[in-house]
This record gives sequence, structure tokens and C-alpha cells, in this order.
Amino acid sequence: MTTEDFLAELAVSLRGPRRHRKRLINEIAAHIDDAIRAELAITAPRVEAERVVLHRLGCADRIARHWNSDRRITRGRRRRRLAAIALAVVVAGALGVTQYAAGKPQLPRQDPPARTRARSAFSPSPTARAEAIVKMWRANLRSGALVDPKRHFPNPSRSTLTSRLGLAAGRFHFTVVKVEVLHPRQAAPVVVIHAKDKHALANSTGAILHLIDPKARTNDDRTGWAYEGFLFEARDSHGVPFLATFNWWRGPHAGGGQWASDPSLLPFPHG
Amino acid sequence: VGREVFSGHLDLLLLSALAGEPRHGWGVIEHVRRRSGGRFDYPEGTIYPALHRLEEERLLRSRWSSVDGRRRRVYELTQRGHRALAGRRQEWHEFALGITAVIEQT
Repeated sequence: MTTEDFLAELAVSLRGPRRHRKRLINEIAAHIDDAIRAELAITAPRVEAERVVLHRLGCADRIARHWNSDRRITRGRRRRRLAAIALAVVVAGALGVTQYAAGKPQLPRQDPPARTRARSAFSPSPTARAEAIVKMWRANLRSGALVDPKRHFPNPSRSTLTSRLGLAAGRFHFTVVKVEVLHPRQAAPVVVIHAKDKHALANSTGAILHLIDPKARTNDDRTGWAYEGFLFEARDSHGVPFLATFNWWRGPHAGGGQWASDPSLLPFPHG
Repeated sequence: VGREVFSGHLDLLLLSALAGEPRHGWGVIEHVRRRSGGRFDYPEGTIYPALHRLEEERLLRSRWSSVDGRRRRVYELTQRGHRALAGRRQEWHEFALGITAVIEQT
């Protein structure tokens, strides 16, 4: 058997994504190449070196059985993980944390007013709340990308986003701390800004989002968005988050939400 | 050492071989052969599915690298891989101690 025969036999026996199979074949071809070079140093004829190397490598069928068995296990794990994410999304929706409905952002699950509630030792800090929101938002983006990968969004470029942000920053008096663009399928920007006047920023949030996370006019609040997801977080002069809005538009559980460290800072009507 | 015994400890051997420095598949096999004095009899090709699996478990990460103009997939341990290796080494030592204690008393 020659190297080509061996690799061809292996290629037809492998299961799983083409990209992964191709990588395995390339790695084993490189292995054979290295092993033959090493073997030639002690075994003169190349044919004999190739025979020894292929013998040590084992039969293609055996390698394929190991590979295919691992693929089955991996696929099972991925399905269970997807099911867990979907369940988390459904539970989040059922708790009313973040759904948009009837064309208006309802969203808010907000902290009770600070005056009426003694902050317990277990109350999450604003930073922890903001981190939890980012985590939840990312999970929703991931699950949306898995279940609804074909939906297409206009996806404005990063430079477009940057220039829109510059315009908004000048108009509404904030500074940009961070811009990160995730790519669950297409772009999903995370914009973190810093503002001195919390209430002014909260009052302007709708107008800011109108500029940087635009939506075409449709009769449905869930369609017409430029990005598949968007997260906007505002921090005070100490770098502590005080407001966040977020959305994700792929999949059956598309939605969004708002959060503020104080109910008077929530940018959208709620209740 | 027989194939079944070897395959039962394959993950530990691969993680250990990559603990010192990043290596490509052939480098891992050569390292195991040298360190073990050639004691293991196993089909070398089966380590590649195992390397892929360990990467999917995020114990390893890999990248293509050019060695003398030839492309090779180089693997290295992640932080999680280092932690897993420490745990498996500990398990192995306890297992070996137990086996030794039993078989040497007879």
C-alpha cells in the first residue's frame, strides 16, 4: 500500500465536518512525511521506509473508528449543551427578564428602589449585574446563531459604527470606553461609554441608540434591525455601570432588555 | 506494554508529552517513544483523533506552524490542560501505588 492509497482509504472512512476531516488527513500526511524522512536515515530504500511507517501508523480503518467514535461523543455533547442554552433562554423569557413585545420594549426587570430596600450582603453590585447581562446576552447570541444561522442583517461596517458613535458622542456628551464587535454569525457590537451626567445620558439613550443601532421602519419590533445583536453599556465617572440596553434578533427567542442601577435611570418606558 | 493498557492511559501520556513544550503529532510520538524506551506497542495513527478530542475538550490548543518550509499542526496545553494533567498525574500515582502494594505482597 502506498501513502496515497492509505490516505484515500482513511478519507472515505471518516465522518464529521469536512474541515475537521481535512485537517486530520493533512496532519497524518505530515506525520508520514516526517516518519519516512526519519526512517530513511536507517532504511535505505524509500519503498521499505514507507512500508515500515505505514505499518506503525496502523490500519486506516482503525484510525477512522477512533475518530468516528469521538465524533459521535462530541456531537452528543454539543446537542446537550445547545439544549441547556435553549432551556436557559426559555427560563429567562418565562421570568420576564428581557422580552420585547407589542412593538414596545417592556423589558425591565429592575432593582427595587434603593430607599425601600436594604442592600443585603448578597445583592449583586452594578458591575456584577452588568457582567451577568453581558453573559446572558452572549448566550442568547450563541443559541440564536445556532438555530437561525441563515437570517441576514444589513450589518453596517465597523467604520460606519465608529463614525456614528463619534457623532453621538459629540451630540450627547459621552466618551467611548470600548467598542467590541462579536461575530456569532454577523456583527453584534458591544459599546461601552462613560458619561458624567447619568440622567442626561439616560434621557438621551433612545436617541443614541437610534443613531448607532438603527432600525428600518417595519410593522414588527423584531425586524428591520441593522445588527443581529447590540449591547450598549454606560458607566459613571468611577467606571461603574449604571445603565445597559441589549438585544438579539436571531432565533425564536429574539428579544432584548434594559437595566439600570436606579429605576429613574431606565431609558425606556416599562411596567 | 499491550495496546489496551496503552490506550487506557493515552490522554495522560499525550498531556504529559505536551507539558514541557508545544509539539506536533510526530514530535509527540517521538517524545513518548524516547521517554518510554520504546516500550509501547500501539498504532501511531490513533493519537491524532485523541489530540483532536483533547482540543475539543479545551485541554489543548493548536495552530499551523511552518517547520523547514513544511506545515505542521503544533499542539500545546491550555491552562485547563495543565490543571487536568496535574489531576490525572495524581490519580495515576495513587493507582500505581495501590497496584504495586497489592501485586508485591504475593
